Amino acid sequence: MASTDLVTLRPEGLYCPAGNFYIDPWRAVDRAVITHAHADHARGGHGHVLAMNDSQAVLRARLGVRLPFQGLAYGEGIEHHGVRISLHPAGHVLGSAQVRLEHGGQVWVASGDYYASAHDESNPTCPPFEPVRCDCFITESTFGLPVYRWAPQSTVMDEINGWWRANAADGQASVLMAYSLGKAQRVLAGVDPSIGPVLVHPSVASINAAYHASGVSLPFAAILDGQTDPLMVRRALVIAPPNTLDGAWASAMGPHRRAFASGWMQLRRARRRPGMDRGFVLSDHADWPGLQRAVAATGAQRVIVTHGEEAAMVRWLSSQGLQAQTFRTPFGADEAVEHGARD
Amino acid sequence: MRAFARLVLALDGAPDNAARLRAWQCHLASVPAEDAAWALHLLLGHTPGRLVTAADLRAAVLQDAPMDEWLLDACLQRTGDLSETVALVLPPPRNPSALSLAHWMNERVLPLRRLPAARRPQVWRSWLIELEADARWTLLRLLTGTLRPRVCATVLQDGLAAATGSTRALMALRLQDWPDRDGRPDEQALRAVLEPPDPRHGAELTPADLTALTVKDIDWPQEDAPLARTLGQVHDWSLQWRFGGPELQFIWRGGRMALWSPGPELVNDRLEALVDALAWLPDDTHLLGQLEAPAGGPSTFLAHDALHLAGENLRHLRLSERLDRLRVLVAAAPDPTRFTMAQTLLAVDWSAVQAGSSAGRAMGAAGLVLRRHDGSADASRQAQGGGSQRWRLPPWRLHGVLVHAEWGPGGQSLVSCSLALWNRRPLDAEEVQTVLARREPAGEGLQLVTFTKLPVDAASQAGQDLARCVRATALERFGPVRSVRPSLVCSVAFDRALSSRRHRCGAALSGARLEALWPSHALQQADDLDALRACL
Repeated sequence: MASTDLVTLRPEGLYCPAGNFYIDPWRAVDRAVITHAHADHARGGHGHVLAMNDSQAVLRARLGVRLPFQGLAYGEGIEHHGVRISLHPAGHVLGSAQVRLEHGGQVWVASGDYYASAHDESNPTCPPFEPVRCDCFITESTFGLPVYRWAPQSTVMDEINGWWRANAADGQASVLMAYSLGKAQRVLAGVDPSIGPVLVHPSVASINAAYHASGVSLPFAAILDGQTDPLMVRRALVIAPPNTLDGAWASAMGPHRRAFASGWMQLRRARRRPGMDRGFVLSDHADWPGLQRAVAATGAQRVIVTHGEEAAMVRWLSSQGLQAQTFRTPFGADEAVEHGARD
Repeated sequence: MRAFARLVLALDGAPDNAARLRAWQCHLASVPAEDAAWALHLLLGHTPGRLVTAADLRAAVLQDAPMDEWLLDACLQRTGDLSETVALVLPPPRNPSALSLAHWMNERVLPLRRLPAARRPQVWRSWLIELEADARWTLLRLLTGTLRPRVCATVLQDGLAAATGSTRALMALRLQDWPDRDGRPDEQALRAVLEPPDPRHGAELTPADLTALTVKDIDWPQEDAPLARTLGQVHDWSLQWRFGGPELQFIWRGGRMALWSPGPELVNDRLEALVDALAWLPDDTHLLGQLEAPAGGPSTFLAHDALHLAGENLRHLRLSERLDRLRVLVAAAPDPTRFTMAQTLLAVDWSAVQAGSSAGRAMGAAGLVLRRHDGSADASRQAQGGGSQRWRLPPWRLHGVLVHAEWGPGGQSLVSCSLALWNRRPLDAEEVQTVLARREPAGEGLQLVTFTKLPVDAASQAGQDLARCVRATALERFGPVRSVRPSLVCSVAFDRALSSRRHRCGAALSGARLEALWPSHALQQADDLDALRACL
C-alpha cells in the first residue's frame, strides 16, 4: 500500500504515522485514541488517551482513576502534528465514537464497533451512528454475513417482556445475561417496568450510573445482593453479565430461568447452551444490511475490515468494485468468548 | 405454522424436560384441536419424509436471495444447517402467512407429495417468501425430512395427561391407536386421546406403580450373619435368581397388550418381537418380570410374579400359590426361550443359601430375591412388613495400578481414574523397577495394560488421597488428564466382566467401582490379565 496511508497496522495496534498515535492499541503506547470502553478496544497503560467525553467515567473505572484522559465532544476537532482528529457517534455504547482523520487532502474514518441499521433503527441509549464521508473506511464486521439480519427491536423487546411475564407468573426469577456495558442498558431502556422489579448485578449498576451522569435516562434498577427480598427476586428481571452466573452471587438467587441477549443468538447452534432457557437476538453491532448501508453512506472507495467475518466481507466488498483489505486485530476476541461464539 | 415453529424452537433450545413440558402444555392450550393434532403427529416423528433435496434448496436460494455461491457456503459454515441458512438469508416476508398448521399440512405439504419431483420446486419456493425466519426453518426441516424435534414421547404423554387429568400410562396406551405415518391426524383422533378416563377399567389397563414398593439391593450377607434368627426358616422363603435386565410388566387386557418398563413407559415399540411372541398368553393377565436379552439370542420375558391371570385376580393369594399358577403357565409356553421363570435356589438351610453365590455367578445372575411364601402380591414387594430382600451377589475384585487420572473443571478435584493390570505376573520387584524406569512400553515384555476407568467421588477420603497421589506423581498432561508414575495399588469391585475385543485388556467391566487404596502394597502385588480372564 502507498506510504501516504493515514492508518497502518503495527504490532501495537492501528497506527497513524503522520500524527504518531494509535487507535484502540492492544499494547501500551504513548498516545492512543480510544473509540469506546469495551475491554477489547480500551486497554491500560497508555501515556495519553483521547476519547469521547461520555466515556470518561467508564474508562477511568476500568483503567484507573489517574488515566491521562483528554475528552472531545462529538464533532469537535483538534489538530495533532498536522492531523485533524474528530470523533463522531457510532451508536454502539455510551461514548462510542468513529475516529475521523484528515491529513494531506485525505480523510480516513476508523469506526471501532458500531450499530447501524438498514431500517433506521437506532440504539436508544446513545446518539445514532452518523455516516462520515471519507476516502477510506476502517470497519468492523462482527456480523458480516447475510444470515445476520436483526428483527425490529420492538419485536425482540416484546419477546423479552413476554418471557419475563410468564416466568413471574410461575414465581421464577428471569435472569437475562447481557454484557454490562451497553447491552444491559439497552435491555433496561426497552423492558416494561410494570411487569415487576428490575434488578442488576453491581457491575451493571456502576455503568448505569455513568449513563445517568451523561444524561441518558434509564428506568430504576436496584442492585441484587444478599439483602434483597427473595420474594421480590422471584418476580424480577435480573440483568447480569454472563461470567457472574457461575459464582456465589448467582447461587443465592434461588429458582430462576436464564436467557441470553446477544446478536450471536441469531443462530440455533448458539442458542442451544446447557442451562439456558431462551436466546434473544439483540445486538449493539450492525447486521449485514446495516454494514452494507454504513459502508455505502461513507462514499469510501477503499475499505479495510478489522474483525469478525473479515474474509466474507472483504470478498463481498471487492465484488462490489471497492478496494478492500483486512487488518488482523484481536478486536472482538473477548466479546466472542463471552457470548459463547466458540460453541 | 408460526405457533408450531415457536414450539419446535422452544423444544430445541429447552434446557430440560420440565421446560419442554411447559412449552408443549402451553401450545396445547393455545391452538385449535386440529393444529394440536398435527403438532402431536409431527412431534411423534410421523413426518412426511423428504420432499425437497438439498440440491433443490441450494439452487432455489441462489436465485431467490439472490447471492453468490461462495457467500452461501460461508453462511453455511457458520450455521452448520442448510435449512437455517436459507431461512435466514431470504428477505423477510411482506405479509407473513397466518395459515394454520393443519391447513399447511392438509392443503399444501401432503398434496406436494403427490406431485412429480420435478414440479415440486416451483410450488414450495413460493411458500418460503410467505413465512418468517422461524416458520421458514421449521417448514424447510419438514420438507427436507430433517425435522427432528428434541422431545421424547413421555414428555408429550405427560402434557396430554395434564390436559385431561389422567396418567402418562393411559395416554401411552391410547396413542397406540394414533394414526400412523401415512395417516392424517384430525380433531377426532385427538379427542379420542383426550377423553376423560373411564372409571370402569381405566385403572386396570395401566401398570401398577411399583417404584415406591420395590426393595433396595443389599449386600450378600457375611458367612456369620445370623440369618436364621432374622429371617426364620429357609423353607418359608422363595429364593429366585435375579438377572441384570430391566424390570417389565406385562398387561393383556381389553384387547390391548402392553409391556411397561419401570417409569412407567410403554415399550411395545422397542420389543415388538417379544410382544408378538407373548400373544398366546390369556387375555386379562398382569405379570411382573424382567427382560433378559442374551447376546445373540432372542429377548425373553422372565416372569417373577402373576397379579392377574386369565381374568382371575391373584393379588390376595399366597406367593407360593401364585408361583404355582405361573409354573403351569410357563409349562404351556409354545416357545420357552421367550417366556420362562427365573431359576430358584434350592437350599436346606441358610448356610447353603450363603454358599450359593458361586452358583449364581456361574449362571450370570446379578443377585437373589427372597420373598416369603405366605406374602400377598403387594406385601412381597414391600420393604417393611412383607420382609422381601434382594441380595446383590458379592462383587468380583481385582487389584490394579493407578496410571491415569482426570481433573474436573477448575482442576481442584478428580473425576475419574484409570487402573492397569500386569500383562503377566512380574518375576520380582526388580523386574517391575526395570520396566518402570524404561517407561516406553516394550512389545513383548512385562507391561501394564489399562483395564478400567472409574468415577472418583472427590469428597470421599479415597478421592482426596487419590488426588494427593496424582499431584505428587503426575508425569504428562493431556488436557484435564494426567498420566502418573505407577506407584499406587487400588482395589476395584465390579458386578460382571464381559469379554470384549474392543478393549485392549480383552474385557469390559460392568458396575465397576473404586473400593480402596492400598498404599502399602508393592506394585507386583497388583493382579495380572489372567486374573481378569478368570472373572469372565
